[in-house]
Amino acid sequence: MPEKKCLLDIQGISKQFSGVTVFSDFDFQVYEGEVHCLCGENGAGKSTFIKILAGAHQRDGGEINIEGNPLQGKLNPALCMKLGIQTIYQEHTLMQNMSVMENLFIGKEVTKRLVLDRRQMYKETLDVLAKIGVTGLDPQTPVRLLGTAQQKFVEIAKAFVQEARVIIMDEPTASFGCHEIEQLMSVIQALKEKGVGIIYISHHLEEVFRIADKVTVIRDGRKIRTYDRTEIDEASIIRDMVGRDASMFYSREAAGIGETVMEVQNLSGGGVKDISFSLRKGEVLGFAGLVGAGRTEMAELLFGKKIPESGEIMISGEKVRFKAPKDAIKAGLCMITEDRQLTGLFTRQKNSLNTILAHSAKFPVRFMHPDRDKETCCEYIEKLKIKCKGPDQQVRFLSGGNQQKVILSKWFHSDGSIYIFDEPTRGVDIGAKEEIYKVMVELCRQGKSIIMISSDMPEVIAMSDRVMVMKDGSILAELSKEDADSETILSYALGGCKI
Amino acid sequence: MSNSQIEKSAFVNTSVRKRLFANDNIFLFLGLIIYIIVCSIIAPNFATGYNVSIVLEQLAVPGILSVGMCVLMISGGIDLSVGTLLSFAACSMAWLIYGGTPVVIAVIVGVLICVVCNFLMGLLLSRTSLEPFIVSVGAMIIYKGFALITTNGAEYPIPGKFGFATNIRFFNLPLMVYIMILVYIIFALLLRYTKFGRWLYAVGDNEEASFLAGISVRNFKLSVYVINGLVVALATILMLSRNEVGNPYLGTDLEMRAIASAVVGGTALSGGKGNIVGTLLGTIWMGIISNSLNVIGVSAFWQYVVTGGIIVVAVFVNNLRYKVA
Repeated sequence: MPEKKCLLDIQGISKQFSGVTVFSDFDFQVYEGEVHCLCGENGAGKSTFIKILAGAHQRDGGEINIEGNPLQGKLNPALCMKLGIQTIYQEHTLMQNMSVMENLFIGKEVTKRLVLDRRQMYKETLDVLAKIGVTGLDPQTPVRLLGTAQQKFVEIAKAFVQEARVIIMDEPTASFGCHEIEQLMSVIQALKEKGVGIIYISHHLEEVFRIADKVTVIRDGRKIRTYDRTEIDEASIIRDMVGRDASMFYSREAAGIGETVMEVQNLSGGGVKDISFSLRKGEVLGFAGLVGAGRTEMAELLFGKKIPESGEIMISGEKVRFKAPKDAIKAGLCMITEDRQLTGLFTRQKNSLNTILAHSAKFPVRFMHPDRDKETCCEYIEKLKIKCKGPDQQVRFLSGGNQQKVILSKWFHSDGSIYIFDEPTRGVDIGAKEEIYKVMVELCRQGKSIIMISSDMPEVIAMSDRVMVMKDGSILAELSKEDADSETILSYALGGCKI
Repeated sequence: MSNSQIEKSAFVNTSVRKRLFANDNIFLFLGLIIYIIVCSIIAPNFATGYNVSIVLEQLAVPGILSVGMCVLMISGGIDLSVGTLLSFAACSMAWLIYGGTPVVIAVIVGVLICVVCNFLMGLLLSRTSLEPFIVSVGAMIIYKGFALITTNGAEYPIPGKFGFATNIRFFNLPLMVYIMILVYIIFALLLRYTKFGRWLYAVGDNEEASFLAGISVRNFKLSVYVINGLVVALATILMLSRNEVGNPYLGTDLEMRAIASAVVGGTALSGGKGNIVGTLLGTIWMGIISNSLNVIGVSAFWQYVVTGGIIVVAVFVNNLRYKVA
């Protein structure tokens, strides 16, 4: 067997963001015709790695060798493409209104005497699609008419046309069905045979095991181990993914847990299948799972943002049906959404308006007084230690943690009893994180109940009284506080296998 | 306890000077004062009682339309059809009065036209994701057609039957000026002291977050369009009363004037930002610019250039302030 050529050799890469090391001393190699998978938890540094390779972030140190030639100076996206590194991001980056053919040849248009040679491009498109094993796709179709999977294939074909030597795929199967995954697997096989190197990033270990020639596990920005095809072993990969310093855990005081306040039976709809659970007074019920496991969708059903197709929700023993979030808020629910800027805050408005809004929607008041709004706002600024210039400051000028507190004050003021936290500490610094945890504990002590959706494993383990693990829209396991450790949770989240 | 009291008062009461300069409209106001003083010096017949009453009478109708536009724009919408809707409703009323219909019935018909038209537009815009800009441009052209159809391209003079808005005068100012001031006061209070006012800014800033905070966003947006319909109806009545003739070109360019006044007053096209006092100042600015240029003797053609330039400068200054705030 001839020696394979090393296409990409990365030595000791490191990266810091405002003084925090997210990436240190990372080595990675991709050989010709090889699939190298990168595994790690949410936030382990996978996306930073991709961004460095794609030229979106600059590395702080380390060397990158491309086909044996050391790379001098800075990378940028255009240079990466020229060097033959193509990245296929999780989101679509194709021009939606252009045809498949036009997308493939962006920047590489075939011309004949200054005029586009459409016939030639049409032929070549069919050719390329056939080469990577995609059939039944008309090159003239506008991309927006294609499904998610087909668009992904077009992106792969585009990388091929742009003469990529290394293709990076970030969670390519995120919204794929079984059949489409099969198709992708055969496309990857075809690419391998053409000698293309592939960096494959996926949460789905079963896919990884099928196609990987090598697997590298990354945790907290460090390479833990690289496995060869022959030594791949699911249990040890999972162990490598989760193992971490115990001092990062937040230790919380337990609160007295009371009677059931909310009961959900066989709830389905909007990507969620047959969910049942109960929530008790003073309890934190954690929902663990991978990104895309249907946890946010479940929260949307509970909160009336989407209407369930079937199933029941009972609050304090009474059956409820929410047509809109308004109804859920009146029944005492609160939702702290995942994306603060997009769905939680009125960024160009004052603190005080943000604080009073949910309350004003819940209670039948017509008249308000600006001074009363300000007083209310001041109370919460003090209670939650929100760092700001005062109630008149616009919230867009606050830091992430303080913005999160403004959202909390909105819900505290609405006086709800069931709080749904969706990723409560995402993008929040350590200090503010701990304060948010304290607030959650305080809520429990007051007899409120919390549903906490979190992808932060230490957070789930430290804060939850019980943990539900979700995958593909269903609850796979219910774990008590004693049983909930990272390895068990992750093994369920990844595919329901026991270690 | 006492400690917290002190902190609270520190937030609520800052010094008068600080509060004055923190006000969004202070530069607009000071600029206006300076402009008026300069004009009075250059043109001696600018600051006369007669001229002031002319200015106020001229800006009453666009001023009222600006209030509706301001509210609509804060909620994230816009309506380019108010000018031709005014023409259409005024023509219909004039046609009815001309034909001998009692004035009260004609007024009811006029109000209904404005409210129903805006209700339909609100229904369309709150239930779909269509762009208000495009839909209202379509509506603008439709109403223009209706205005021409109603009058068959002709005019319907109604002298002596409907002149209350200018004939009734207090302290030498026509009734319509007082009505405009009343409209401003009502809307200023509405935005400051009611839930409606709070929701207006919230919906304009972030519809999704508003929905998740328990606001029925669709019905709320519909209600804003209906309110704008009522505002247009009032403007129509005053416009017809002032001119005493139904003419399909009565409302020409009024929508642009209303948008310009609101924008000069600090209202953002993107929604979630704007206020009634600013809009009033914007309206006065717009009224005074054209009048002062007339009095000074600038040619009508140059007036367009100056007016447009002042709008751009005002928006620029406002934008600078917004970034600093």
